[in-house]
Amino acid sequence: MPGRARRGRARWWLLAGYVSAYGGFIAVTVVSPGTLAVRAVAGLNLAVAWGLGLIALAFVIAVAAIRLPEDR
Amino acid sequence: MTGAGTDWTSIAVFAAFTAGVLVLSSMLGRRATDAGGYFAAHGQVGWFVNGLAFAGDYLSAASFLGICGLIAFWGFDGFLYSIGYLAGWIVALLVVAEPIRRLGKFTFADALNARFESRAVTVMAAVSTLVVSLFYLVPQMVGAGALITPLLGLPHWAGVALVGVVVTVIVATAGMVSTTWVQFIKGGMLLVLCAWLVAMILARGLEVHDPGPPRDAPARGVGSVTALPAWSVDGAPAGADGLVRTEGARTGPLGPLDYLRAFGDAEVAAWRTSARTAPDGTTTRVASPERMRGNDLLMPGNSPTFRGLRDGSVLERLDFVSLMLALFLGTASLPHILIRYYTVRDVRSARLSTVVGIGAIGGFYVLTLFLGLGAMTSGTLDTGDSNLAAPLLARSFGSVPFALISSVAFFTVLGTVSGLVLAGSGAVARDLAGTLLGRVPDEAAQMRIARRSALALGAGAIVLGLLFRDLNASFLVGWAFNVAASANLPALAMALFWKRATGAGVAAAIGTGLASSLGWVLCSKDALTKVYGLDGSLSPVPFSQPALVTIPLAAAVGIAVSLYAGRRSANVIP
Repeated sequence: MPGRARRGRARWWLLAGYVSAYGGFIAVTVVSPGTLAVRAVAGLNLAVAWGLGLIALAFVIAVAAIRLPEDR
Repeated sequence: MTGAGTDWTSIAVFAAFTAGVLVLSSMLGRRATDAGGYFAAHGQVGWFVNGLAFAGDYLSAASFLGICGLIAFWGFDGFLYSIGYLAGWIVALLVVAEPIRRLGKFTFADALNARFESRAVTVMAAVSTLVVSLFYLVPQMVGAGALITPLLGLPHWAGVALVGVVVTVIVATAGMVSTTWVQFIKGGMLLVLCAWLVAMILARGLEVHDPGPPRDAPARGVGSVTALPAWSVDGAPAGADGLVRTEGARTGPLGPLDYLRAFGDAEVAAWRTSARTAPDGTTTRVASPERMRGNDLLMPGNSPTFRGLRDGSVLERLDFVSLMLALFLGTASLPHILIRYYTVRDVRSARLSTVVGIGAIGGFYVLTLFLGLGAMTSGTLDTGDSNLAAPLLARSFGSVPFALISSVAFFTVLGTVSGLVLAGSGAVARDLAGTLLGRVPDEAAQMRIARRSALALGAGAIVLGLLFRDLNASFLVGWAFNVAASANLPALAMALFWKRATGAGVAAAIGTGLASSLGWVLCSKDALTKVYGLDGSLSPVPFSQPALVTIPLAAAVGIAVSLYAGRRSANVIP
């Protein structure tokens, strides 16, 4: 069923979204670590805000994944 | 702390914990009457229990003691491990959870070999399970040894031996049923107690204390805030830099975000140890306070491991990328985590239990940030052993919190070691024994072999824990993730998602990943200096963490062998 296949692909989009956020954090840490000192959200620097954000994003993706159909 | 008089509260709490675990194991052992019960709890564990058991399995001594200690001494660098460890669960949830549950039965090799029925895959998967489990066992035993001295006043070897004996009893008597419930209780208690400790840290807030002069290392009872931002302290005079340096000035209770904000704006005494040579040539170790802005400590690149991020070479930065890649891909490659998917009823339960696991583990890792920063600023650090940061922080709140946190830390080691020994004994009983005997042993024989293997693994873990007592727990776990990700993930991805994969290709991927990552790690600069005590410049590999090279290498070899084997079989004339 095409609709089911589309929903099935959603898991790979979720993975890609998380990889982007995680990879972006690693890239900034490697290329421009000083950027992470900037106060970003609620007085927290970018390093802490991004780190906590990655943990929160993992939980959001996990909850979203419950609604995905099974593979086969 | 060490060498203090007997603390009977700690001993009573610890004895109650250990007795409770053994009684529970004995009661649940009656359910493990066949191989299905022993290895997979009959696939009847509820998803919520299994989810917290995931947390129990995963939150090892490295997570609790190691990360808290790293944050307490180096700030954000320790939290990098938290971020990486949790990220790996996304791969587990979205990529491997469902196919593993659908294809496997008892061991990692079951799922990997479902399509091929290849003896080579079975043997390689079993060897990989044993190697990864042993790598992971060492830091757990080291953590147990570090805990036992302040907790019970016993020597290091006694902690290692105690964990080895209790775990062997748990696994040998009751298998997965008992291990699951031990993990469930441990995971729940760890979360609740750490949340309680963080609540006390926030209620106490931050207080200004002068760190005093340098002193002989190891220094005990150190670590403090030396100046607080004026906005966080009412009525105290601030200097031109907006900081209050009045001894004893305090913030009072703070919310979580305000705590992090106040820490970032504060000036903190971070303790560093260095060698000092006297005019007569004698060398002593000295611990000195380094006054740093909190915001600098909340940045990567303070610890020796990650210092290269700020001013190092490209290779040092690649070393960091390689570690973060290993943490991301390693979780879904750990055999003792993967076999937990066999304990639930169906694919949906596998998914739900992973979500519970992510919630519990993620919540815990957020708590580690506050525990580490709390330890850094509470005047309780021991510069000689970073693994004790969390228990010593708990002691500053009284003997009951200390007894509870130390006991649950010990329980943490027990739970993780149980899972590892179970995974290893399953690999021996089901995979290696079947291959060596030329037939799959009957269920009674499998359980007999597994129990004997558990005894052997327990004994091996005790010996390794004693041999490697001086190595850093998180450092060793990082290596375990590298080896697991290199040996198992390319093979798993090929077996689950690539139709042209062959048994020979999958076995080659495991063998290549295992041999290359193991060889790399054992020849790395870190191993040369920290394990063998040699000159690090002799290392033949460019950086210490191998995953960036060995994962693609294993995948390339697995693909090449599969394509070659597939072409050869297509050319065979029937």
